[in-house]
Amino acid sequence: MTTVDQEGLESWLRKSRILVTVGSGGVGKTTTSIALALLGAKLGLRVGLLSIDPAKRLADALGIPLGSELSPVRLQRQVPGHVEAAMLDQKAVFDDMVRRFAPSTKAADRIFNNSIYKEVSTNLGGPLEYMALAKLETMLSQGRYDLIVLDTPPDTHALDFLARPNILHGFIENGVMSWMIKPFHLAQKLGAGAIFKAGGKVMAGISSITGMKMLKLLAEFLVLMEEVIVGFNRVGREVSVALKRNSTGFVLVSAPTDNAVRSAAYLLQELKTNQYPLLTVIMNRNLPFALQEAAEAWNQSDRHWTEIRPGFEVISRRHRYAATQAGKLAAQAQQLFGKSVPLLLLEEQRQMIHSEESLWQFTDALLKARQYQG
Amino acid sequence: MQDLFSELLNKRLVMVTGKGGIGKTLTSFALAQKASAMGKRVCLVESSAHDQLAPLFGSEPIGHNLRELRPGIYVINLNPQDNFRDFVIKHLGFATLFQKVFTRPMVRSFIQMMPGIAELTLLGRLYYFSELDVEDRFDLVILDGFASGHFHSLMKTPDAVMHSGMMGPVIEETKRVRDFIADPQKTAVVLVAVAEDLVVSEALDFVGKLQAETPAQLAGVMLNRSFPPLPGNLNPEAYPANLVPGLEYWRERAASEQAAITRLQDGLAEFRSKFNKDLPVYQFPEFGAFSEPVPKDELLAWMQAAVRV
Repeated sequence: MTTVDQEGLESWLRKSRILVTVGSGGVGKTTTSIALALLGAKLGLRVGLLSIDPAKRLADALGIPLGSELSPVRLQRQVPGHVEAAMLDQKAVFDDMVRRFAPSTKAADRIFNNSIYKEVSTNLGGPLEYMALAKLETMLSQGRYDLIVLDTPPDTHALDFLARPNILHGFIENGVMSWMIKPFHLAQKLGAGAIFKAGGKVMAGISSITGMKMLKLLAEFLVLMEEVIVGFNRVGREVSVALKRNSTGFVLVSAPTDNAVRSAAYLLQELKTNQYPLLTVIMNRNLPFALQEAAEAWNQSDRHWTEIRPGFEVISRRHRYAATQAGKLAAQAQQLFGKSVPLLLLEEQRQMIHSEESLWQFTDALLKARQYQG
Repeated sequence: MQDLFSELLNKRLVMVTGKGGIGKTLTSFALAQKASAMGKRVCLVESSAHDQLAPLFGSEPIGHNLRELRPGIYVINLNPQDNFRDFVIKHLGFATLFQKVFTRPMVRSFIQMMPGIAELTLLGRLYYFSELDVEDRFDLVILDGFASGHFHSLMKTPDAVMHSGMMGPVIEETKRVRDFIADPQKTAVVLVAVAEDLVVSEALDFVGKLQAETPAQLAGVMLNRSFPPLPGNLNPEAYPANLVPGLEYWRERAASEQAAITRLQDGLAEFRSKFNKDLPVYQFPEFGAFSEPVPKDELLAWMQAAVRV
C-alpha cells in the first residue's frame, strides 16, 4: 500500500497549483510544508514555499533568512526542480504592504513613524500575520511557479480568516473607519476639542480610560492606514477565491494527542463549511513502525522479563493511545468527507528538524507513510 | 514532609509556558490537582481559541465561564473580548461606561485593533483573580500559558503599555499588574521542556531572554517525558527478536536524554552566574499517554514520581 500513497502524493504535487497546510501548533505543520516543497522539487517542479512565522531553526535548516523576500533555496542534494522560499516575518510583510498601498512615499514614511504602527507591526500577533496572503497573490500573478506551498499559522481560526480576512472586514463593516476618521478630519479643521463633540460619548468614554494622546495616535494611524486597509481587503478577497479553485488542495496536519485531534476536528469542520478541497489528513509523530511492532509483540508475550517492563509499558501505552487517536481522527474525516480523504500515518523523527538532511529524512517518512486502515 | 512543589504552589500565581506541544496544559492541570490535594482553592486559567483544559476534566467546553470542575478547582478559558469587559467593569469599576460605550459593535472592533490590549487585559484578569477577587478568594491561580514566543511578548506588555503614551486608569492598573508579576513572593513562571537537544537550546535561549527583558519571575524548569532508566547489563540477545527494536529505542532515548540534561545543566550554570539566580530542574517520568478525562490518582502518582535533577 505504500506505493499507492506515493502515487497519491506524487499526483497531488503534480496536479495542484497551490497546496495549503493547516493544523494546530506543535504538530509539525511547517516541517510538512517544507517536505512537500522538497518533494515537488524532486519531481522537477518549480516550487514556491510560503511560511508564516516559522521557527527560526526551520528557516536556518533551509538557509533562508526570516524576512519578506522570496529567496532561492540552495539545496545540497541535487534535484531536477527548485524551491524558492519566503520565511515570512510579520513586520517585514506589513512594511511591504504599506509601501505598496500607501498613496505616496511620504505617506508610507509617516505610517512607519506612527508609534501605533510600530507597536502593531512588531508586537501584535494574530490576524495581521495573514497579510502574508498578499505575498501569495503576488506569487500567483507572477506565474513563476508550478506549485505553491502555503503554510498557514498555527491557529484553529486560520481557515475562517482565509475565507474572509475578518479583522479588517469587521473594522470596515462596523464603521470604525468612518467613525474614527471623520471626527479626526473635523478636528484638524476645528481644533482638537471638537473631537469629543464629533465622536460623542463613545470617544469621550474611551479617552477617559486610555488618555487623549493614545486616541490621537490611533486616529492618525487609522487615517494613514485607510488606503492600505482597502488594499489589504482587495487582496484578501482575490486570494480567498484562488483558494477555492480545483487546483488548490488542503493538507490537514495533526498528531496523536487528544488535543491535536480535537483541533483537527474543528479544522475539518471549517474546511467542510468553507468548501475547501481537502486532499489528505496527515498524522505526524507516530511511534516508528518497527517500534509499534515491538509493542504488539510485548503485548502478546507473557511479559515475564521484569527488568524491561518499565520501558515496554511506556511504549505500549503510547502505541495504544496513538491507535485510538488515529481511529478518532479517521472517523471524523470520514464522517465529513467520506472515504475519499485518506489518513496518512507518519513515523516520528528522532530529532527535531534542524538541517537539510533531517528535512530529507522527513520527506522519506512522508513517502513511507502508512494509510490508516481501521 | 516538604513536598517538591510546595514552595512553588505557595505563590499566588503560577504561569506555565514552553514550546508548543510539549505538555504545558497537562503540567498546569497536574499542578492544579497537586495544589488542590494540598487543600488550596485553585483557579486554573487558559486563553485559547478552543478549550483545552475542560476536556482533561471530562467536561464539555466551558469558555469564558468560571466553573468548578473538581472540588476546589475552578476553570476558565478567558477570551479577549470578555476579558476587556471584565477588566473595565470589575477591575476599573466602570460599569455604566461599559454598558453605554463598549457594547457597541464598532467599539468591539476598535478594541480588537488596539495594540497589546488582549495581553494587557489577560494580565489584568490574572491579577484580579489572584489579588482582588473577594468573591472567590482563590489561594492560587495557575495559567496554562502561551507558547514561549508569545509568552515572552505577554510578559513584555506591561512595560510596552507604560511607554506607549497612554494615560489615566489603564496606566495605574498596568503599574500594579507589573509590580505583581515582578514580585517573586507572589508569582512564578515555570518552563516546560523535554530532554531533547534542540528543545534544550530553545529553552536556554528563552530563560535568558525572559530574565533579561521582562519582569517575569522564573522559578524552574520541568522536564517532561523522561524515559525510565535503562536496566544495567542489558543484553538484547536474551530477548525475542521482535522486542529488540524496543530495546534499541530505549537505549538511544536514554543516551540522548542524558546528553540533553547535561547541556541543560551547563546552560543553567551559565544562567546562574549571569543573573545570580538558581533555576531548579524537575524531571517527570514519561507516562506514555494520559487519556481524557485524566484520573486524579494517575496524575498525582505521576507528580509523586518527579525528582529534582
